[in-house]
Amino acid sequence: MNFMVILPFLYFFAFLIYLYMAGYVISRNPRALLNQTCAATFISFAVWSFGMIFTQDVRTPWSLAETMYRIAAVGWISFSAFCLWFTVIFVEKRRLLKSKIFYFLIFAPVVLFLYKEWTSSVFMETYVMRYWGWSYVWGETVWTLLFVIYYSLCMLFELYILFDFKRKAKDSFKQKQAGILFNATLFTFVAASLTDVVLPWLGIYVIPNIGVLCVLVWATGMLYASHKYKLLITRAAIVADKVLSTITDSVILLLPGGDIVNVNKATCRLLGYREAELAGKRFDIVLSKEHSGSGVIGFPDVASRLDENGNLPNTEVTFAGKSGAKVPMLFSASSIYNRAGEIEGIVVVAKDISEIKKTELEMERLNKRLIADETSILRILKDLKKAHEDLQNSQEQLVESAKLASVGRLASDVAHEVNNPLMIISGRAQLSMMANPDDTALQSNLKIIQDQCERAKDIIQRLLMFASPGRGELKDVNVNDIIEFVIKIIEPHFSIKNITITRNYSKNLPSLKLDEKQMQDVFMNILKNAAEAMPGGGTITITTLVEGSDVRIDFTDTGVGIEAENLKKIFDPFFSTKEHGTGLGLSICYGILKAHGGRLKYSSAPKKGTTATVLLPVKSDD
Amino acid sequence: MAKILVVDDELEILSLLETFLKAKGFDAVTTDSGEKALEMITQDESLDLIILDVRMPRVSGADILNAMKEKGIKTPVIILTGSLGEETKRLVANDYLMKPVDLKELYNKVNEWVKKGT
Repeated sequence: MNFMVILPFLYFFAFLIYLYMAGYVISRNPRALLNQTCAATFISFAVWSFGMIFTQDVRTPWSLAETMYRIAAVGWISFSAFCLWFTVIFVEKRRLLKSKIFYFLIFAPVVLFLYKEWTSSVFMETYVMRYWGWSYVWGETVWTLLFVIYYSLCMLFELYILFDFKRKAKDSFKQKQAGILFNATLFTFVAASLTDVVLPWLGIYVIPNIGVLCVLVWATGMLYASHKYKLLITRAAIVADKVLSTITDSVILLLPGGDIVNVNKATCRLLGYREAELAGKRFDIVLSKEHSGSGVIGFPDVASRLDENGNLPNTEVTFAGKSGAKVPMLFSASSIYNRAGEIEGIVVVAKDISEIKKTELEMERLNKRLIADETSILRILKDLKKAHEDLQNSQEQLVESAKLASVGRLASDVAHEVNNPLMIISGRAQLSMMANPDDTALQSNLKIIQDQCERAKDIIQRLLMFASPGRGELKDVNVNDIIEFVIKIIEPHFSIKNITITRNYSKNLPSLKLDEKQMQDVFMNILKNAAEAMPGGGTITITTLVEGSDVRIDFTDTGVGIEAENLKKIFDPFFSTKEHGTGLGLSICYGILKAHGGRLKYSSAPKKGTTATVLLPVKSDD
Repeated sequence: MAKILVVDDELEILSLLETFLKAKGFDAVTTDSGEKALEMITQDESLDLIILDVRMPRVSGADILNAMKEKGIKTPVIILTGSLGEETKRLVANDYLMKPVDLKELYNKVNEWVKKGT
């Protein structure tokens, strides 16, 4: 066996490994004490290993070997302390870590042992050249015993707290880490102790001191735990990794040129790709070239839209899955800068908004329907409002008609009842007049009786006309002609009272089937009322026109107007604001127009004049 | 002497018209009952004229006119009415007078129809 080459090479290899591990561990999280103590441990092993390169070579002269052993001693004396410190940090024994006694107990012996070894070589009695190189012989001193006890206690305590921690840990990652560390530490402790302590102590020198090489197992365990279970990685990085793996949004890391570096699980699930199928591809692979309303269909579109801070705020894009399925996404991008201010990468975060889009479409559809329904409802409401108004008008008219009909019936009954006694009075008066033609005084009195009976008869006739106006004799007439006929009669009286009449006649009035005499009575009555409202004179404007299916005649005066309270009663029989008058005029006019299928309306306000409106249907009810 | 039947449910009116007609030389007979009037009209063929009130209880002037038409009695009839409404105009009578009646007008119409009858 050519140990001249193999052993030194192995120690050199181990030295490099431990140095690398120290650097690796520190690079994972330079600020973490865990990493620092782990790195310190590896440096101890590196120093130990370095020393052993030369000692385990038969060509090394004694003086150099002795020196190298002393250098190696720095490593094997100090590693226990650092290893235990590392373990205590790992298992989070915070009370110990706060205890100065703990640090004293683990480091004070190291300092002492180093001092004694360097000054007095208390541990090694001597060195003997074996087939593999220099081999030390443990000195049978109290210092050796103390060191062995110290070293054993450190390692056993380490194993104990690792075992205990693994048993109690709730975090599965931590459990795994502790398990690996325990196993690696146990093997290393047993193997290294066997080759470097037990066998030499027993005087058995059949194998070299390969304790430091056994530590490679421990280093392997550390590396495995670090890679697989995130040992020695920053908590923030672990958390970030956890977040990325659990986040439901798609997260993609790109190089500045648009190549995909990494994608999270959500991206793979969403698009149907495996991570390896996307890594290294252009970002365009996930973008759909169609359906992207924002026009982002390729990485150049993304790059060109980054703002001055290297960010692209929420933009709607469409992703394309492996199967070609289109997925609408809400997408944002942020640039990652290095210390020199250059873009190192771009992080894309995109949210699947398929459901939101579906909801938006549904909302739009419902909104359209709502608008249509609203329009219909508004139309229906308008129709309802009009119907309600018509109903109210009809109801008012019905009440008015019922009221007038009731009064009419009463009037008719009264009229008929009064006619008989009136006839008796009148008849007897006439008989008396016939029997006493020469009695002038009697004739005079009887004449008065006769005249008053005629007057009463006239009232009764008017009352009966109000009660059941009828339409009389109908013939085709022009309303303008009837009005002119009436004006001719009354205009002379009006001009005396400084009342002028203004005519706005429509030339296109159709002929209507009317009782001409009754219409004359109606217009006469209206004009007389208008004149009486203008005791000091004024103007009456008469307008005729066709309005819908009616002929409309407006009589507007500039008189004193009618109080609102009286306006409600003007069609009531016997209602009058004049000193004289039966109060039947407008009631009769109302009845006559109603019998013709027409209507009479009044609008007025105090001191603002009055407008009487006559409406007559173009087609009669014959 | 012409014989005139006066029918009215008002006794004072009957008395008034009977006095007037007799003073004018007519033979006036009166009744205040529509049923009686119908009986008299049917049985007495010597009547020259009937003065008939329209509004009467039970048997009205309209009922009497209809019965006369059915029986083919052609004695002239002057109706006395309080109003000349549509209903009155539809009655099959020869003439009408509005109450309260002007006696001169009554006399003129009675003469007219009595002469037509003869």
